[in-house]
Amino acid sequence: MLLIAIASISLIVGGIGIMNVMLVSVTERTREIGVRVAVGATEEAIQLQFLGESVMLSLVGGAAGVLGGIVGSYLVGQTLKWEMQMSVEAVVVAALFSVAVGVFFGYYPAQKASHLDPIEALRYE
Amino acid sequence: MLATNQSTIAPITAVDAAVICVEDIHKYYELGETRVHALRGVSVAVHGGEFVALMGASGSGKSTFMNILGCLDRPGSGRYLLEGVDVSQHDKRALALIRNQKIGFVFQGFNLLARTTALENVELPTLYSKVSNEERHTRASEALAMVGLADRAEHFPSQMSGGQQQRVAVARALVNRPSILLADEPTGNLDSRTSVEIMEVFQDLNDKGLTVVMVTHEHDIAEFAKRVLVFRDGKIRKDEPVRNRPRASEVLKTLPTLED
Ligand SMILES: Nc1ncnc2c1ncn2[C@@H]1O[C@H](COP(=O)(O)OP(=O)(O)O)[C@@H](O)[C@H]1O
Ligand SMILES: [Mg+2]
Repeated sequence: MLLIAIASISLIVGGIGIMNVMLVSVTERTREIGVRVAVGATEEAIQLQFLGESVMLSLVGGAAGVLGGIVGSYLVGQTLKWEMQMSVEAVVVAALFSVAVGVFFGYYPAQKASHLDPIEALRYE
Repeated sequence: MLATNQSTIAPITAVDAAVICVEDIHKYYELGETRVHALRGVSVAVHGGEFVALMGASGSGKSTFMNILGCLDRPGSGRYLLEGVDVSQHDKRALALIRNQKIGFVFQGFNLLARTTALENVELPTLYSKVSNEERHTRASEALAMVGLADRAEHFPSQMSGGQQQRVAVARALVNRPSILLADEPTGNLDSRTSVEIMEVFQDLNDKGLTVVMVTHEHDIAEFAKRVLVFRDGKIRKDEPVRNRPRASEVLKTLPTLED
């Protein structure tokens, strides 16, 4: 129970972190978005690009978590002389959660990016 | 050559359809309580192979007009026929396709992506078209060659002069072989020699048949076009052909060279 609570809180905190990074990225790349729209990117294309980036970010986080988990349990196993067991399911679940977090928390920034007015975006300093 | 009533009689069947035909375009901006009437009834036709310069004081509506021509914006009222197709009622997705396929837009700031090479910058529009990787590469290389930058394909924007960056931007505008090249103050950030170099590129492309419309507030630059439209208070007040048009390539020979 406690573990699940800790896990969900970390997911939410991590997700909000991703959302922040993505929002900053959208602002910093306002002109780029303007250019892309001007040369023919549709709203969906811009949305997909930013969703993709936030999923990538989240997957990198997920991978780091899995790696940390493996190393951690190995060290614990070594010191306490426990038998170590790697569960494939856990890794798959971690990957799925990463994607879900990326999509969920990346949605708003991606939406924001795709709704920028290209004329204003191109003038943005 | 202002839009004649001929085009209102048979807009769809008009075979000699102008590349651009706008009829009584108005544009309003809402600014809080006030309403800016930026375009007050603009009508004009531009035919294939023309090279038009738009002039006029700051605030006269040139950019507003260009953004409509470039399908970045829609007119408040009036019609815009691009190659005979009325695009004034198109939805966003349809306009994106038109921008991608039919329009090449060059801006005052070059607007290149800083972390990508010249070639990748030129390829950008093809990412939103159905084009194979191989074709994408060929086309981008060709476009770079057209603006005389074949040897700079792998350079990053920061490694290029302003004039070279603007030429990359022109190549990017050309990569999907558009029907028109639109440029809003393309030489606004460039020194006079580099400006003439850009005009050389434009004249060159225009000689090959490309229709060009550009905004400039410099008379010397407008002279390189074949026709000048003057905007004032949201209307076209003057529409004249350019007589004794200079060749940019000739003018360049008389200008001192600077090393870049
Ligand atoms: N996004 C906008 N919101 C409100 N007013 C605008 C906007 N863009 C342009 N205008 C106004 O419309 C008029 C025409 O502007 P613009 O087309 O940029 O002129 P130009 O390019 O000839 O300098 C000006 O009065 C300008 O202040
Ligand atoms: Mg302007």
